[in-house]
Amino acid sequence: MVGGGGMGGGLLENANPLIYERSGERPVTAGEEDEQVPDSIDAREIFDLIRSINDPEHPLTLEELNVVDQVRVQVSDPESTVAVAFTPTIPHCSMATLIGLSIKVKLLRSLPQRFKMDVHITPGTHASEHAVNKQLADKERVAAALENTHLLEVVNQCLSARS
Amino acid sequence: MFFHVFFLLFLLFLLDVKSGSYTVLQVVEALGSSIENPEPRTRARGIQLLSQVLLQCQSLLLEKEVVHLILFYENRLKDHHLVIPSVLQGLRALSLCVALPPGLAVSVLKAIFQEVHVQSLPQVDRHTVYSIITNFMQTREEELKGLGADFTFGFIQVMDGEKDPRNLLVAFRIVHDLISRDYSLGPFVEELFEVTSCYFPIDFTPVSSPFYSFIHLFASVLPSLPQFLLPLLIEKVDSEILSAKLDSLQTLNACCAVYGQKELKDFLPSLWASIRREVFQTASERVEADGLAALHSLTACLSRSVLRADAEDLLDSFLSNILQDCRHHLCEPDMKLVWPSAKLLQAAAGASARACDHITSNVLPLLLEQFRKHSQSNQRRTILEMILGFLKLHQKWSYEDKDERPLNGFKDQLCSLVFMALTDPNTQLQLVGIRTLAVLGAQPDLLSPGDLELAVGHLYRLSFLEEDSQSWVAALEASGALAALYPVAFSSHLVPKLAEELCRGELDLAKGDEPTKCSRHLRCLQALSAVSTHPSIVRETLPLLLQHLFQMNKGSMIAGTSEVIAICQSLQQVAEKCQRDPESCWYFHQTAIPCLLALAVQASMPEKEHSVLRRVLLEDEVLAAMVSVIGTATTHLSPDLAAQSVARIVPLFLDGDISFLPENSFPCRFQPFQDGSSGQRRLVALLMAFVCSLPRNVEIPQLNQLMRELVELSCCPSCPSSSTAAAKCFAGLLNKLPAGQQLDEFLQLAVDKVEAGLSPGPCRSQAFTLLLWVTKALVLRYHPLSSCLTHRLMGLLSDPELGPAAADGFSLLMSDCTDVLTRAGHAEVRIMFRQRFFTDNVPALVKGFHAASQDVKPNYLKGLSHVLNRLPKPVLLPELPTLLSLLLEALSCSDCVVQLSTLSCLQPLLLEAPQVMTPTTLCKAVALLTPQLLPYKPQVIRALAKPLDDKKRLVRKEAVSARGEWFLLGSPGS
Repeated sequence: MVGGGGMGGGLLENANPLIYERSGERPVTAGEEDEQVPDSIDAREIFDLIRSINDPEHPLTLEELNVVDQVRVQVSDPESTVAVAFTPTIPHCSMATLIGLSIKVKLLRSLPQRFKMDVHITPGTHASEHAVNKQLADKERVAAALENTHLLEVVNQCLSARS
Repeated sequence: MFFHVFFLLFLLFLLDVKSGSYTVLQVVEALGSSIENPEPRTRARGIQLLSQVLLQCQSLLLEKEVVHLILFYENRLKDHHLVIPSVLQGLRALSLCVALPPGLAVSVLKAIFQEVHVQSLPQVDRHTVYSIITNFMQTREEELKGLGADFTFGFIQVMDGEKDPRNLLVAFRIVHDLISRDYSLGPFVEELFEVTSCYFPIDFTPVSSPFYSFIHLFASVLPSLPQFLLPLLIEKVDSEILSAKLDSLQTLNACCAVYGQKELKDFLPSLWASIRREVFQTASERVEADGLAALHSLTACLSRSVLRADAEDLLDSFLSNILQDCRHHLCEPDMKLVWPSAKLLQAAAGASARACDHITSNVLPLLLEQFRKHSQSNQRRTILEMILGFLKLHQKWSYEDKDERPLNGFKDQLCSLVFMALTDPNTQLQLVGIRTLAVLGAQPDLLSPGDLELAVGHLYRLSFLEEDSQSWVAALEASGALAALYPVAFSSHLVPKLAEELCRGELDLAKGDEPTKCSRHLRCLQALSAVSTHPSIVRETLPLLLQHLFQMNKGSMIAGTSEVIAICQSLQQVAEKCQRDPESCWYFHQTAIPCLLALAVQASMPEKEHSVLRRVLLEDEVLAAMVSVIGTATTHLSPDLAAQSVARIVPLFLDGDISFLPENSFPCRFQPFQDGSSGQRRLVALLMAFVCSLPRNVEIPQLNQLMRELVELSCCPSCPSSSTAAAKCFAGLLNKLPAGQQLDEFLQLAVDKVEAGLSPGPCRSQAFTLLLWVTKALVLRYHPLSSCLTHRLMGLLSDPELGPAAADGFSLLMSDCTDVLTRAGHAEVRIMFRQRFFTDNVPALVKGFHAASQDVKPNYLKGLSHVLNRLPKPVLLPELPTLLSLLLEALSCSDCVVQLSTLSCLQPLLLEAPQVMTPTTLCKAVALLTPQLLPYKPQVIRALAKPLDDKKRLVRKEAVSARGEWFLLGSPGS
C-alpha cells in the first residue's frame, strides 16, 4: 500500500483521479422475464459483476475510475471463456495486482465453474504489465494470496457492497 | 395438385362404395388407367388409393371381389419397388376381411415370403407385413399350420435383422404365439431362437406400452427353447458386460420356475461353473446376489422335479459337485473364499429340505472339526457364523418324524461347541454363540433338559456381565426367545437364581450403595422382565417384582427414586410382553394394579413414621413410571374384563372404597377428590393412567360425578401436578365419549369453569391448563367446538401473564402425548389433525401477530413456529413462501426455542425451493444468525454454485449476490 511518491497528497499515488459517470442498472427486458427464453451470459452481465468493485484506495468504484469498461470485456458463453482487461489509473500504480486480484476473485465467486477466465492489464497501460499479468494468470499464486488473511481482508473490502 | 385430385377421388369413391352405389370392382375399373400406368409413381398412387378405400370398406367386400383383389395384389407384389408399400397396405386391408375364402391366406403369405425382401423396406411397411401375419394368425390358424414349417421359415426370413423396437414388439409377439400355439417349427427351431436371442440382453424399455413390456415379451419367448437358451445364458454370464451378466442370471432365475430336470440336465455342470466363478470373483454385490439367487432356484427346480422310475436324481450329483468345489475353501477360515463358498452352499441348501439335508450332513462335520482345529477366537467365530447360517436354514423345514431330523446326530457336538463359544473371552465369539444357542433352541425337541440347564446357566452368567453391553443385550434377547419355548427350564433354573439375586440385592441395598451391586441389581430386574415371555413364567416373575417393591416399602432398605423407577420399568416391560396373551394380560392387570394402587394409597396417607419410600413413591418421576405400567397393563384388556376392573378402581377414587386393595388397613380414608391431603390428590395421575387407557366401549361408572370432580380438582390451585393430571384425565375421557347430550354437558361444564378461572384470580394457570387439554382432546377428534376453544387459546397469546404458556401450548396441541390421548390408549385421533389445525388456524395466528402489540408478538411467533414445526414437510413446503417474512421475524426473536424451530422450518425450504429465498431475506437471515450459520457456509456456497449457471439472467443475478454475501460471511474485511 506504499505509494512511490504521489503527485499531490503524498499518501495516495493518484490523489486526484478523473471520475467517470456510472452506468445505470441494466433495464430488465421482456425476454428476461420470459421463463422459456434462455439469456446467455454477455459482456454487460460480466461488466455488471465487476463495475461495482471498490477501488482499494479511493471511495470510488472501478467503473467510476474507468479501470474497467464494458468494451474491454470479452465473453463467450458457449465456449465458456471470459477475458477482462483493466486499465490502472496511472502507469506505475502499485495497486494494479490487487485490483486484478479483486476482479479475479469476484469472477471466481460469481461465474459458473465451467468458465475459464483471463484477467489482464490493458496492453500498454502499465509499466510492469507483463509481471502483473503473469501473477494473475497463475492459479496457485491466486490461491495462495487468498490464504493470506490480510490480503483477503482487503479483497473482501473491495468486494463488499457499499452501504 | 396431383395429390389433391387423388384425395378428392378417394373421398368420392369411399362415399360411393359405402353407400353401395359403386362396387369395389367398379372402383378398380375407374382407376384402371392409373393402376396400369407405365410410370411406377402413378401406379403406386393408384394402388394406394385403392388400398385406402379397401381399408375403409373391407367389411363390405364380397367373397368374389376378395378373390379378384387378392389375385390382383399378389401379382402386384412383383411390381416396381415403389409400388410395394401400397400393395402391402392393400393386403393388410384384405387380411382383415372376413370374407376371405380358405386357402388365400396361405397364398398371400407365400407370395410375400417369395417376392418381398422385407428388411429392405422402411419401418412402417415392415410393420404392415407383421400386421398381415398377425391378422392371419388370429383368424386362419389352421390354414397357416397346414403350411407346416415353411411358415416358420418364411417368418424367420421376414424378421431376420429387424432393428426397430416397435416392430420387434410385434415380432416377439408372433414368435411367442408360434411356440405357444404349437406351430410346426420343424428344423428351424434353432434359427428361430437365433433371430430372437440375438437381441438379448435388451436394454431398451418402451416408454408407452401399456400392456406388455419388452422384457416381459422377450422372457415369454425364450424359455420355451431351453436347449438354446441355456447355452446362450452361460455365454452371457461369461461375458465381460455387467448388465449382460445380471440379465442372464435373472433370466436363469426366472426360467427355473418353468423348467424341470429334463431341460436343465445337460447344462448343469457349465451353469454351476459360471455361477461359482461369478460368486467367487465378482466385485459387484448385485452379481453375487443374483448368482446366489440363480443357484437357489436351480437347486429348487431340481428338488421339485418328478422323476421317472429309471431316471437318475440329478440333485444329488449336482449338490455333490457344489460340495466338492466348496468344501476345501471352508477349511481355510482366513482365506478369501470362505464366505463365498459358505454363501453358495447356503443358497443351495436353502432351496429344499432334501438339499438342506444333503449339504448340512456333509458340511457340519467338516465345520465342527475345523472349529476344534482352530484355536484363535477370530477363526472360531467365522466358523461358528457359518454353522449358524446352516442351522438357520433348518428352521425353514419342519420334519414330521423325530428320527429323520438331520441335526439330531450333531446335537452333542453342536452344544459343546456353543458352550465353548459362550465361555470364550472374545465378545464377538460370545455373541455368535448366543445367537447360535437361540437357533438351536428353536429346533423342536433338539436340546435335552440337561443341555437346557447348562444353557440357562450360561445365559444367567452372561446376563450379569459387566464389561460389554452387547453380549448382555444378546443374552437377554436369547433368554426371552428361549423362555417362550422352554418355560419349565427357565422357571426351574433361572427364575429361582434371579429371585435369590434380588434378595441379596435387597440386603446390599439395605447396607448401603455400592455402584457395582447397584448395577447388578438393575441387571437382575432387567433379566426378570426379559424372561417373562411365557405366561407361566410371568406368574413367577411378577410376584417377585411386586414383592420386591413391597420389601422396599417395608423400609428394610434405602430406596432411591432410581430403584423404584427401575422396578416400574421392569414391570412395564413385563406388561408389554403380556399384551399378546389375553389371559396373561388379565393376570398382570389383576395382580399388579391393586398392588401398585395399594402402595401408592398407603404412601399418600398422613403418617407419623415416615418411611423413605413413602416420599419417593409420590415423586413426579416415580408416578410417571407407575402411570406407564398401569397404562400398558390396561390398553389390551378385553372390554368385559376392563369393566370388572373399572367397577373397582373408580369407586376407590370417588368413594374411598379400598376393599379390593391388598394390605388395606390404612389409618384414614382415601379421599383424593374431597379434603384429602395433597399427597392423595397426586394419585389422580394413576386414575388417569387407568381410565384413559380403557377401550372406548367400556362404560365408566359414576361418570357424571367423576367428571365434575375432575373439573373441580383441575382448577384447584394447591398443587400443579395433581391439577394437570385431573385436566388430562378429564380431556382423555372427553375425547372418547360419543357425541351427544352428555358430551355437550361436560363440555359446557369445562368451558364455564375455564371462563371463570381465567378471570383474574389465583387459579388462572390451572384454568389455562384445563383449556389446553380440553382443546387438544377436541382437536384430535375434529369436534366442532375445537375451533372455538382454539380461538380462545389464541386470544391468550396476548395475555401478559399466560401468553408464553399459551405459545408453548401450541406445541402440546400438535405433538403426540405418551400417557393420555394416544392411539394405543384407544383415543380418537384423526389422521390429518395437524394439517387441519394448520389450515384452520394459521391465518388467524398471522393476523393476530400483525395486530398484536410489540411485547407479545414473540408469543405469536412461537406458537406459529410450533405449529409449522410439527407439520409434515410436504404440507409445509407450499405454504412457506407466504409465511417467510414472518419466519424471518421469528429468527430475530430472542427466544432460543423459537429460533431453533424456525430454522428447522426454513431448512427444507432452502434445500428444496431455494427460488423463494430472495437475497434480501437471506441477508437478513445471515445477519441475524452469523454464528449459527457459519458451519453451513461451505455447503451453501457449493449449493449456490448451481444457480450461477441458470439460464435466466435474473436468477443468476440473485445467485451471484447471495453467493457473494455467503463468501463474505464471517470472513475478514466484511
